[in-house]
Amino acid sequence: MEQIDLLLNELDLSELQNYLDEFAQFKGVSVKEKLKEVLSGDFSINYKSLFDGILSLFWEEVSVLLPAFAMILAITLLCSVINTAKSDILHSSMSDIIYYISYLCVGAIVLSCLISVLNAGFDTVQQMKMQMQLLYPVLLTLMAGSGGVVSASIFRPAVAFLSSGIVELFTSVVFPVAILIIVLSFVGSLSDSFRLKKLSELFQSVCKWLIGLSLGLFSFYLTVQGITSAQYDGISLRAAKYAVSSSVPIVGGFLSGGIELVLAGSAIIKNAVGSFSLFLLVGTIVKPLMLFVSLQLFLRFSAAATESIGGRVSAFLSRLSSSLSYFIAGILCVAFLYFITVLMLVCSSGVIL
Amino acid sequence: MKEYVLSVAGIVLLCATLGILLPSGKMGKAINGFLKVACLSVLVAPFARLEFGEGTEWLGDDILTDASYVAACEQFAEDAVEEEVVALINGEYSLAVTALADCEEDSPFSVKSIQISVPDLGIFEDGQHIDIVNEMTRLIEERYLCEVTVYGVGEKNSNR
Repeated sequence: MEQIDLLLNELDLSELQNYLDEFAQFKGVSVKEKLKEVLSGDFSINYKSLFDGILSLFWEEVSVLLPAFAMILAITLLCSVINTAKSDILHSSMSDIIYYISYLCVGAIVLSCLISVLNAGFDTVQQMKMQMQLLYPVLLTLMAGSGGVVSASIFRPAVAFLSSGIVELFTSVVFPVAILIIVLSFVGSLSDSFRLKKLSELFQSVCKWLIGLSLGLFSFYLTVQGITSAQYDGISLRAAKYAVSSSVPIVGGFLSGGIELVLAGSAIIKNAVGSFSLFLLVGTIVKPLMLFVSLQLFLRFSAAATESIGGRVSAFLSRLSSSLSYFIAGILCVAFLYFITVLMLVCSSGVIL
Repeated sequence: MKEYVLSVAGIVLLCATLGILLPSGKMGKAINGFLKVACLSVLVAPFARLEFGEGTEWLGDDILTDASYVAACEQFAEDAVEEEVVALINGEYSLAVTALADCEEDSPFSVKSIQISVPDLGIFEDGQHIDIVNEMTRLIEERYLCEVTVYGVGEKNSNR
């Protein structure tokens, strides 16, 4: 443990500390102290209170949306009542105007809820990018310090591409295309003269392909690279250990402990940093995911409630709730790639030692 | 993004309103078609910025490791090897020595070279020092697979 403390004191975690100090809930929390708790096993999670916290967060978001739901229901009901008088009292074009106005009112309410949620989605991906740029250098350093020099050099371009290219793909292409799908849903439901269903389907398939390909290809590449590089490092280290152990009878294994202590110390700290980064990741994505899930639930519930009284409005709300899935998928995809990269960086030491 | 959504909502509202007010003849159809093109151009306008290279960074900076930490690990490894060598020689030959190890930076810190100073030959006589040095050198070379240099042999004995 003393060796590990010495190694931990040498590790530069100042940038990570500065990042955590920006958040009110982490102010005053020392990263090195938390890592020591993880290393010594004193760090524990109260799963019951965590689950209760998540549930209360979900209900909080749903309760914020309840007034919006009531307004949508009221507007749709009013529009439906006025439209039933179309044939007897109102001219058909007046009925169209009433429909447009009600549709735009519902659209304004929904889109105002949507904008803050979508901004949260963008912010979440940017937060994950920042965490990757802070934590990956630390993990690669610890990997090099635990004997995985080849692994570190092989992983370096992969993690650089993840933290910049993949994140940029989602923030610059996938999410804007998902916003376009939402806008096309809004426009397409407005009038029969605006036929945009095929265009919307095209962008939906573009989104699905981009998410699927980035997830599949990057995960495959990372897994193959991780296994082969760790094997190389493992062979070179085992060769050194064999030379040590076989040349000195009886005490060979005992005498090789000095360097191994240094390597094992770095590997143990790497595991602790990996665990810490995963806790940070979960803390980053829980709230926005609850936001998206509650909004999706709200839209589906509104679509179900207005189905019998406001046909096109219900169809718009239903399409909108499906479009939100692309944002949820985008956030989960980036989080999964982040997670799998941390996992590869942490688990590669298991092959070496 | 807010500006984009508001601009789309505005153009759609304008097109819908004009669509109601337009006459139903050929002129109305032409204007309707023009309005649809205008609506579509507003919809895809943000993607033109990607086409003309505005604001996207696909390849970020290289991720750099903390060289000072790796240097500290190398130092710890060297200290550990020096302690091991001193303990090994003391155990095998009952000699008090000092060792200076030099480890690799870019590997599992394998040993590049070891320098051993033997100031006092202890119970061994002066004539035996060559055999002792050769045995010691061979032992450490086999153990660490590196270059071993023994110096300052018996300096304390010769100074008496």
